[in-house]
Amino acid sequence: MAKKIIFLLSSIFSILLFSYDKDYILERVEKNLSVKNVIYRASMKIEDDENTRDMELLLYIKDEKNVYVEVISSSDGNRSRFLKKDNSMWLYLTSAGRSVLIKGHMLKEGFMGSSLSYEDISENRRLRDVYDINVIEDEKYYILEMKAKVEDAPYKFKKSYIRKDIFLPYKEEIYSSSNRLLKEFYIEDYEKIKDVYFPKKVVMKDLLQKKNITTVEYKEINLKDKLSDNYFTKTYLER
Amino acid sequence: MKKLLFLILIFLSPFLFSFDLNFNYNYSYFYFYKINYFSSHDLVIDVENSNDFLKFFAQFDVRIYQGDSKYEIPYPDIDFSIIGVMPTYIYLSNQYKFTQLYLSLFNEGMNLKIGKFPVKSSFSEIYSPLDIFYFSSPFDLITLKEFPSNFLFSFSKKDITLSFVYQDNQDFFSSKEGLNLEYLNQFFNSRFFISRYSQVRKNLLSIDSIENYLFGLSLLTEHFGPALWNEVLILRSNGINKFNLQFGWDYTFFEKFYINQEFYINFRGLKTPYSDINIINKYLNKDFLIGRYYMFLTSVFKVKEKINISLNSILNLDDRSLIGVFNLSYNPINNLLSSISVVKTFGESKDEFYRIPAVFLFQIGTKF
Repeated sequence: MAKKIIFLLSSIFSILLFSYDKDYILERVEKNLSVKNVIYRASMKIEDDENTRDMELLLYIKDEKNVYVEVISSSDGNRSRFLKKDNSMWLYLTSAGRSVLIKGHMLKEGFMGSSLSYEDISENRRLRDVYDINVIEDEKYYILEMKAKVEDAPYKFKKSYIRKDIFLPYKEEIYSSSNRLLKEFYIEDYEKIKDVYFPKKVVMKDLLQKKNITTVEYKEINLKDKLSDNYFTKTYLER
Repeated sequence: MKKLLFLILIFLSPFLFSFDLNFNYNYSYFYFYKINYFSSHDLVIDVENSNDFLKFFAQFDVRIYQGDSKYEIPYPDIDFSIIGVMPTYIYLSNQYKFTQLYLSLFNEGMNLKIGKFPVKSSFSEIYSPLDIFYFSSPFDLITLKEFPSNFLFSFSKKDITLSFVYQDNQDFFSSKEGLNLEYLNQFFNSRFFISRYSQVRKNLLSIDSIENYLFGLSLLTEHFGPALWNEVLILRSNGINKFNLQFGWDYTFFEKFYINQEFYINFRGLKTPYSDINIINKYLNKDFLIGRYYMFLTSVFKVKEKINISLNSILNLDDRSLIGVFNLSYNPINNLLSSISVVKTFGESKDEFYRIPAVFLFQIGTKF
């Protein structure tokens, strides 16, 4: 009888100790994916069925409303700068000496011809602010089924397979509203800095095209206490 | 100022050890239907170097023309040679120019830019009278574009940006200055623009310099789905206010078809039919649009991943004459772009866009 009671109690404790509730899981995932005040230096490789292009990126992320992205060099000679303020994204055209608004309907297009969209590059909102999330657990992963709850969500529906040890997605599947698999996203490497697990190498595959694979490697990750507001201004963009 | 700029650049060039270098080469073949044809080789070299507070940018353009490069086709019913206004043809000569050359000194919230660079004040795509610092017709596919010398100081604090521009023209009276205040807002991005500039106006009897004051207000929003914008502009010269209004929208349908439409009303524009004097004055002063009501259209259709069809046009709603550029571009491999364009006008002999023979343009280019 005593053995049975001990077994029952230990089962209850193990559930309490080792299984997390939904909010805890989402909080941990968001802590890793929606990092504020960070500067990245990254390389991006875009492969399609004909050739490969490389570019170097600089990203300043203050919060979900202030993001600055600069293509500092690329193998095809295209350099550009982007500023995200609130929901608007501005692109600076050096040859025209002006910045133009990338309209909401164009944000879903490929960033510099990659399989990552402008939204993928600049999105930094908390998952729970954008999606209604259902959490399922299997042996290896927490599976997040995310349905868009705001109109400007990057995707209508996506599924994220979260690693249980580090609370980072191993893989994400992105679906159309008709439930067709559009893209696959993988985090292949990560780095731990101050209790945050940062993706270090990510791969996005566009499944609608024969071969369109984009790999981003974050070479430098510089977590700051505070990033100046002045990086996220028209003056800095149009300098 | 130009000499000072040159000296600064010479002084700084030894410190600019490493730089990005880009080449863009284009071969263009122009054919004026049943008139003539010529070709051009165009090499554009970009040099850029920057660090955390200084940027140097130069764009050098070499353009070599081959063949008979006469292209100006005047109004058919007006004899310009009698009044000596315009030669029958303009011959293009080879050109070697810095089209952009500037130094930019900046920190996070401030920017000082000196040199040759473009300045645009309006939200519009094809034409706005607000763009006093530089304007080039999108239908001019032949002339080499060279930006004028400017001095720009810009300062931002969060969502507000204040910029001052001074344009150094050859004589003091034609120099231009402008102050631009921009407020970024998720509902309405707004710009207020004020400037002063003098303008030389010619007619057959005299040449006069007119001082203009320009006040402009622009609003841009994408809060309602498609992007919407409008510009209100008042040009005050000789105590008379001239009003201009512009409004437009754009949208991409099904991620394939982009359309941008703008309407422009010049309340002081000329009424049709245009007289010979109106047309001669247009040539003398290089006026771009002289009428009252216009519609601009830009549309791009993505046929396939590497094939695009586009159409740009200006329609004069008074005399219903039109100029349009149809373009088919094909990007067979990365770094190689080919295109075929046709420029065509539809109008009567004294309409703003009078009938000219079609101009065909074939281009092939690469960049690395």
